Amino acid sequence: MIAVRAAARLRVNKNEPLLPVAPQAAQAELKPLLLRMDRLCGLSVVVVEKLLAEHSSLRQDFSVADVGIVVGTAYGCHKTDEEYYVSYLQGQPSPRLFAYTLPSAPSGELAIRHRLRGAGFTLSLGRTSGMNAVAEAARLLSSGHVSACLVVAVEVADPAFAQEEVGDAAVALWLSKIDDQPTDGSPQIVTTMEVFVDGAPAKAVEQVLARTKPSPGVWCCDETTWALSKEAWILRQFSTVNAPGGAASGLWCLCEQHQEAAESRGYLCADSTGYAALVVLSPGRLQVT
Amino acid sequence: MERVVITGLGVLSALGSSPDELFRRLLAGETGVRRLPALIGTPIDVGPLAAASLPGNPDSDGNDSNENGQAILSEQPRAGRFLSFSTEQALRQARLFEPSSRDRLRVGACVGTTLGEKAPWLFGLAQKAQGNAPSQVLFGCGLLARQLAQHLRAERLSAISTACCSGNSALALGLSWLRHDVCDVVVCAGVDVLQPFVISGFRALRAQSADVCRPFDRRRSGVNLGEASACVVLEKETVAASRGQRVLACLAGAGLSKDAHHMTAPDAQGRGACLAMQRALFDAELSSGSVDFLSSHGTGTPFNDLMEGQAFARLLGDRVLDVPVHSIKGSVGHCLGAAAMIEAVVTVCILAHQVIPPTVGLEEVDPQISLDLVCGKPREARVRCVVSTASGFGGENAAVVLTDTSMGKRPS
Repeated sequence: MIAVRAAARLRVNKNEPLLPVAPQAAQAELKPLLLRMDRLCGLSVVVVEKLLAEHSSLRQDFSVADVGIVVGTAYGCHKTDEEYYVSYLQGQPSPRLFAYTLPSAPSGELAIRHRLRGAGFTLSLGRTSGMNAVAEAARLLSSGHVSACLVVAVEVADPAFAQEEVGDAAVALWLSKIDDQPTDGSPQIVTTMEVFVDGAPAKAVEQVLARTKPSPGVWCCDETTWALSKEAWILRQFSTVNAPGGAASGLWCLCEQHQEAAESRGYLCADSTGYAALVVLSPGRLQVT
Repeated sequence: MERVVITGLGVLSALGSSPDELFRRLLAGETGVRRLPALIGTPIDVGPLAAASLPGNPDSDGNDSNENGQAILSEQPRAGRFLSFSTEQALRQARLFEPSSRDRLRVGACVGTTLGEKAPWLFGLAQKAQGNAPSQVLFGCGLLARQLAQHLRAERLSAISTACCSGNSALALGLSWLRHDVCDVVVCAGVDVLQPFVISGFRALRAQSADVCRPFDRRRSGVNLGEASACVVLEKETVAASRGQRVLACLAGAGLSKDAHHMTAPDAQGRGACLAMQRALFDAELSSGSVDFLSSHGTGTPFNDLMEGQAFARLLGDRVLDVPVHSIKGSVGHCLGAAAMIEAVVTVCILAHQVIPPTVGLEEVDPQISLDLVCGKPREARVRCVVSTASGFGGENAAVVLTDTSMGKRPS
């Protein structure tokens, strides 16, 4: 079984400093790090700091060599790319910025910060990437490649030419493989499902729903997913959440709706190209910071 | 657990536009690295590069060749065309090119890349700065995966990034999908194209060599950036058998790790890279004693090659001088997200032909590196099990184990 042991989320205004929203006890350590790294990494590091500040006992159970990191981001390092590109156009390309022109940079910074050497990767596919990250982390756990896994969905505001409004936000989940029912009431991942139907998000959602067994008691999604998939949701009970956009949306919704869930719930995310991803959690109490 | 097999290969690189051509030229010790006249006149000295050309498929701006570097300076999308070229080759070899041949298969598309299709977006930004913003610009890593998924009518797709080991990570993800029975076939590709954006960055980091790179050589001084697309078709062994499809090799295992050390420098002790290789062998249910050959990342930077020497020594122990090692970066350049996928293609060729291409650029082995490096000429060898490893910024490491069909897991 794979339990979602804890979660943290962070939503800040564009250009709002990150240090004040970090846990106070960690601020002195984080200050030089946040000055060095880009905002995508900063959001990722701060949200995980929030997670571990509230749930420090989680990590003690595991060897750091065995903890994986899977990151999902739709627009990735677009802001840093822009800043680096300007430095290049001005004839002085910045080596510091260039090191962060990879969507996988947050994974590297998190590994360094917490000495995590487990398997992991970054998915940069679109707004379903956060949900895709949970599905891939679940596969890493179930196959025994890692014993615990940090999943982070992160976005930085205002990507040029984005197809939706995106805010600065990050969500972190701590997943672990367990043999027995969790004693702390944590929900478990019942199933994950992903389907691509080219150009037809409503059809993709229909297929995701049709293939999901057992069907959850309640379906939840963010408002963009709802707008994209209305046709498929007729006659179904649903709940929508005002999410921050991009890859953080799906997991934001999950954090919002699963803090006290008396029934299993399916969290859905879709994008306009026709990719839909679903995570179903069992009843439980997700501890969200 | 059912075996995962390789049934198709495709490649477009500076040294060839098919796996056969690439392998033949690697055996001949050729290099595709050269200085490009058009780029010599740019504001920065970009050094020698390994640029690839699309055969018989001119760029829409009229540049059908990189002989003078014009295509690299173009804002036209090139990564997608590179991707299409190599995937078509691989699909034809796997007899999966015709849509009807995939009708009853659950197909996945997995693309490893560091940059994705970035040029149009950068061009859009420049237009935006001039108050002339385009209404819509599709960009990023996901765009390439969607393009591939649309072509394949795939129901599962992913764009994966682990910096310069993205190719191996894409193979690891494909392996996972097949083992978890979410797909019957996964088309894994690695792609990255040269752009001033990335060339200038490596230059700023002082990571580029002023000459053809020299992996593991005493005088090595950095990388030659390259561009490529490579594709490997993975499928379940039973699916390949039911189609009567010839199996080229097995993807027996994959392992990923992180250095947790530094964003741009590897762990000098090679602990992270070794961990990835050990995990790949464990995943393949093989030991380091089974390894016949190591395909290195071998970028030609002082730090990387020293790190790999340490990592291989950790992995192999007393056998470190018994197992041949090579690098193809002096031949095809460092192709970033495509690098490890090209190396997988070359490894399958090595398993088929039982001969290892030499490490172009290597003349005098660094005395601090104790490895059995293949250099000067090709070496015939009995190769049944290969570990191919790659590393990247952020301390990312990814390794895969490729074997001939006589090894690897059997259906349980």
